[in-house]
Amino acid sequence: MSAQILKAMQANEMHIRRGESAMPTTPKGGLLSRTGSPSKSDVNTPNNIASYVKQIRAARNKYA
Amino acid sequence: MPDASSEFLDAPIPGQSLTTEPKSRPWEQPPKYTTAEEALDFYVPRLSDPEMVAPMVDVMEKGTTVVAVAEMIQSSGVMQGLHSVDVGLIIAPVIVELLVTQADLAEIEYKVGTEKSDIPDSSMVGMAIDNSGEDYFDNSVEPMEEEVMGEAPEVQPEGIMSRRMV
Repeated sequence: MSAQILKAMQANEMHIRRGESAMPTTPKGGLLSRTGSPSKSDVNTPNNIASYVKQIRAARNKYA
Repeated sequence: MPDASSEFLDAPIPGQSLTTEPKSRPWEQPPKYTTAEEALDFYVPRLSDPEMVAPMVDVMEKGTTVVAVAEMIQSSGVMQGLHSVDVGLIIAPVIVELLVTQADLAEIEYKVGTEKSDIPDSSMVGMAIDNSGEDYFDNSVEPMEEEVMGEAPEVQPEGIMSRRMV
């Protein structure tokens, strides 16, 4: 299972690198949306995961 | 003293899962959170709380990789029927990032699990041995010298009942 998690991490990194400039820091829609109301519509899971990872990294660089 | 054979004996026997009532286990039920976003909504507050993460930070400080801890968290979520294995794998990068952040905040030394190891992969070693074996060891078969067999001398019968040549 660890190998699959590592693959998921690599895929996420690739996703972040491809759309680094275009990708918002906060998810546009879905349950994790902070700009709009959380809903099940307009969910883009890879974007949401990538933006969450970016948010966590930004917070880590700032506070940790 | 525990050894490899005792771990082997602890494993479930084939068909053991079929001895319980169908759908009696949490992971046999429909998952509580069906999307990655819902599952993250469950995990993020818990993994952001330093008190709840403290035991995991201890484990990471002792040398367990962050990926292994993330695997434990997501597989325990599957066992509790919170989400499916697929959703667990999708949210794994976020769990890893949260754990790394908590480890940084706790100022401990940890390994993520993505570091390149000096020890090569066992399959690579096996391939190298297989390839080098052909060159290193002389496996060629030398042709054997053929013995030239001469004709055997004719042996005269010498028994009691043998015919005498006159």
